[in-house]
Amino acid sequence: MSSADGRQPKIRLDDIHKTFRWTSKGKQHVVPALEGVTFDIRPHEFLSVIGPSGCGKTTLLRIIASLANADIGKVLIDGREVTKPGPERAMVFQAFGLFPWKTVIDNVKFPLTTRKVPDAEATRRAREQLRRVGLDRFETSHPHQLSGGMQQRVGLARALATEPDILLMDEPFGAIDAQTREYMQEELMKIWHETDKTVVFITHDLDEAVLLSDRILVLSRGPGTVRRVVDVDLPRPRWEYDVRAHPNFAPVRHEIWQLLRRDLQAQTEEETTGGD
Amino acid sequence: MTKSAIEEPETRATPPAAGRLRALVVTALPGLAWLGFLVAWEVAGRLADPILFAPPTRVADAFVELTVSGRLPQALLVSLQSLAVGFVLALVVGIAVGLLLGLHPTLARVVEPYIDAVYATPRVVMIPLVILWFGVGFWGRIFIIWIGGVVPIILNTAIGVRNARSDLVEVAKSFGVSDRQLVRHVILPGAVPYVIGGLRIAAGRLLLGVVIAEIFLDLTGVGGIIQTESSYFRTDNMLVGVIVFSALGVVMIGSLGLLEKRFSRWKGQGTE
Repeated sequence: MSSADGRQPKIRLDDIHKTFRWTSKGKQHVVPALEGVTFDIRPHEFLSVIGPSGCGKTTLLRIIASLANADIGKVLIDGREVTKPGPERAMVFQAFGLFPWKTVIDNVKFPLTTRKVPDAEATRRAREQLRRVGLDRFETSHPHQLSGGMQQRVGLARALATEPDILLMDEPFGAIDAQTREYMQEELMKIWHETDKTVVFITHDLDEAVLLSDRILVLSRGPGTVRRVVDVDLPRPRWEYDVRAHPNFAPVRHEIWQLLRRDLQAQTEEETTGGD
Repeated sequence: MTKSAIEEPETRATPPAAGRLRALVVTALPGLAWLGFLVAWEVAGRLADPILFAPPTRVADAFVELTVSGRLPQALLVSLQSLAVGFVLALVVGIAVGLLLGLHPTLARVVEPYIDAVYATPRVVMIPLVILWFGVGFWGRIFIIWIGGVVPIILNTAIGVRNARSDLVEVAKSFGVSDRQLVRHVILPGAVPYVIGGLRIAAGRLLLGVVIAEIFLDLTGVGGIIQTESSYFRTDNMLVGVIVFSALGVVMIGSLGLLEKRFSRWKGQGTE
């Protein structure tokens, strides 16, 4: 299962197919979401997945998280097929996914408590991660008392507290205002440098993808397939200079923009000519 | 913009004394209304035939007399005890059954029509059957109280379980929780506001159960005082019982309101 350079991929996506079928008002709906996605994600890399809306980005992430099953194809982690959520993966959600009835620290402790980590140990690990995201003063607050950016930091702390190898992030900053988002991106870069996680990051924001990633996986319009893999050649650490002003930034951004634009145009044409 | 900024202080310039007087009237109004109510009651009570009605002064005397003789405290203890037992049983069984029905839609489809039927049946007509099943003692009363309170708690809990936020269920599943942990950490806490809503409906029905049980099943408690005293035409004593039940109802609804407020801090939060 090792790749040519002798390094085993952290995550291998092997010919993933997924079709959604449902019936409403007696009418059968069949929508193919992913059609043969094959891709290797390297250990410790920061990979963004980008694509036009409805290309199955989130579906792909849910399949990697084992929250959905592929119709055909397999997900392998460290060479072993996975079909159920496991402690080596942790997810960060777009709408934060915090339990409103739990305090901040209890939210972070949740995945530890349910995995029978002793309470003292769970508390210690939760505190450590809350300190990392700068929220240690808010342990006894409830989520609704925090801003969106703070809530997502709790979501990030919760995922980190499980000490996963892989962070699965589903447009985590999509629901956060632009200024806070920039700050969060920088925070995430720092955390990634410190912790050496493999990150799979879903986004529809071009700049965000280029800013954060080692590589960007561009999916084609639904049904999603691998359109292109783009390497981002920008020196790290990237918070120490203006990444957008770097000569390598614009060409990468432009390349992806063109790929996405073509799909967007095709989509608009189909919609206006009534094609389905 | 600048114009209004200049004019603004003038529009607010009502004479401070008049404003204070109005504020005083507003704060005093509920008290004044209460006083007016008592005066009207007193007048009506004195004018009416003592068999038909009693003024508050006589009711107050009756209250003191019933309290000093120990009859009212004893009756209140009986009523409160059966209310508490009925309440706890309704809550425990209501949440358990509601959870079961919420988690199993097929079971709910089969069972819920019968529960609705129980809900719609006046409890007085159950009395003969309850006497046959449980006799006229403590457990008969408990059954009458319980059956009224348990149904809204079952139905509301089931709705709360069905409305569990799917995004939070997914969060829990992404961390690989077991089904039991999912129920304990996500589904039940999410249903709490619904359970409290059910309790608010149940509260009045539980209290009504106490009255029905104590008047029609087993002449005891505060309901027993009402029934006995009215048959002796001691309207003042009877009204003491009525007022005690009113007060109980107010206290119950009030404390449930507080409970609801406490949990509404996070109710409906984060649904996008």
